[in-house]
Amino acid sequence: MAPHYLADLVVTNLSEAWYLLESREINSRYLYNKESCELGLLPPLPDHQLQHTIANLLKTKKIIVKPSSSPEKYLERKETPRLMLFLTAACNLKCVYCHCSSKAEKAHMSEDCALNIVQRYIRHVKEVTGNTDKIEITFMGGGEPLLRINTIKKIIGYLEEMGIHGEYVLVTNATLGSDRDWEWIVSKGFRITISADGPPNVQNRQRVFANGSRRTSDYIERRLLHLSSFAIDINIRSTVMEVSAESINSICGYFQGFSCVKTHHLEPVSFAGRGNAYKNVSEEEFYRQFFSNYSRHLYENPQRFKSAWFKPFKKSQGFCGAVYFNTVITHDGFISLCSEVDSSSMSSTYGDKYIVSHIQDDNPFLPKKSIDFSENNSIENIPECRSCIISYKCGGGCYIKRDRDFKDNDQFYNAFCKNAVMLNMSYLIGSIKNVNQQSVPI
Amino acid sequence: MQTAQQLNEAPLVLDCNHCGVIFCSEDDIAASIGANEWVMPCGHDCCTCDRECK
Repeated sequence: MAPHYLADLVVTNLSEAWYLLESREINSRYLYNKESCELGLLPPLPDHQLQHTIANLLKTKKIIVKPSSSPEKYLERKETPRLMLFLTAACNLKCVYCHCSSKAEKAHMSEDCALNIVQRYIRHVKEVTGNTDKIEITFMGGGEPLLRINTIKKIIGYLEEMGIHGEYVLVTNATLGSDRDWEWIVSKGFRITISADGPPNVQNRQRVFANGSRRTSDYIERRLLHLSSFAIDINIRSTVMEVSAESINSICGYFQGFSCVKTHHLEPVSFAGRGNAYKNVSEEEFYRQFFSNYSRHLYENPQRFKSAWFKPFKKSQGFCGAVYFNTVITHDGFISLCSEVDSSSMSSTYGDKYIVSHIQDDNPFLPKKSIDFSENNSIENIPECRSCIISYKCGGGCYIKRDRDFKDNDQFYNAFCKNAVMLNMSYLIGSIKNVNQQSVPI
Repeated sequence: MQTAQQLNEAPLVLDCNHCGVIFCSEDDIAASIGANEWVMPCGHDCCTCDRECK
């Protein structure tokens, strides 16, 4: 079996779209075309013969460009973004790494304001698509949305009164709400993401109640067992602070014990907000270990682990919804392109870039700043991405991490990009053996 | 007998006897390991909200 993470992978750009990949670890060489997204295993020839073979192939092989997704195509298809509502900036937890330094006494969005935003969103969707078939609302965590369960119920009730069948997502720390609340959430068909970090020793160290010493893990376990009694699938989002293999194995293994957990996303901690105090290794080493140790799980169980960080089979010109016109509404009505940037960041060097409008503006959902962000952050316009083998896979990398957590592009490249290249290409190379090979004579 | 062009356009893995290079597409690799389920063509996936676009 090929290793899941080729730490010795050497990538050489041969021409605009062709790359040579070499690894001593597996004693093989490959060709990759990033436009057609084809991987070719090179025969074991002496170097001079191989060079001749490659040169000939680059001249003669017909390339059929695989379509890629782009913000322009997204707009042409008249897509609308999911409305991501932060109903509150307050949280009943005080996670040790919280990037937004959330705490219990912060402000909520009023019910009237929330309903007004939903009404404006419905109008926007109608104007763009001509109907209300695509009303999609995420009740986002960071403040905790279940502090505002009554507002959530009001919004859903309003949509039902209007005869609109929406698609709803809840992102929550799962430590609040009665069984009846959760049964209501399940009955409304919510897709659920629970932010939980791992087995009790990890969960209770990282995710603590704001007002006391109770164990959050007890609440998570109880809720996961409760949800496992329904025929539903949920997603877990774990923030990873300790990136050793042992730690990541225990996090991944723990949630396999709950039948409701279908998918799992691991997110490396942001060195921002309270998280800044936990930077005890270099970013380069932190990300190297994270990618390396996470990759075993991605490799062994690709259907379980789903992430914007890792998409070897995708061809896209952006990393995430920030470049595809996200509509993240903060508790005070600002519209942000990233769920990690709220109005408290507006005075920062990056805040103004991500906060693109206010709900009271004339065109709040697709303002010029949003279009500008999309253009500026498309891989077409990021010089470092143009010659990168995985530009279409990584889509430029996590924008907010790049802008906020790294001192410059070089550091981002060394910590993030290099490891993302090895991970994505290792995954492809490691998986090629599974394809049913057909030998066809010419 | 297939032409070289037909072979290069064919979706399955090819073993081209001229150069000995075995090519396959990412889509085939994805399908072979069941990962095509989470190919998200619109690029609008989100690490947090678990949105799937198919």
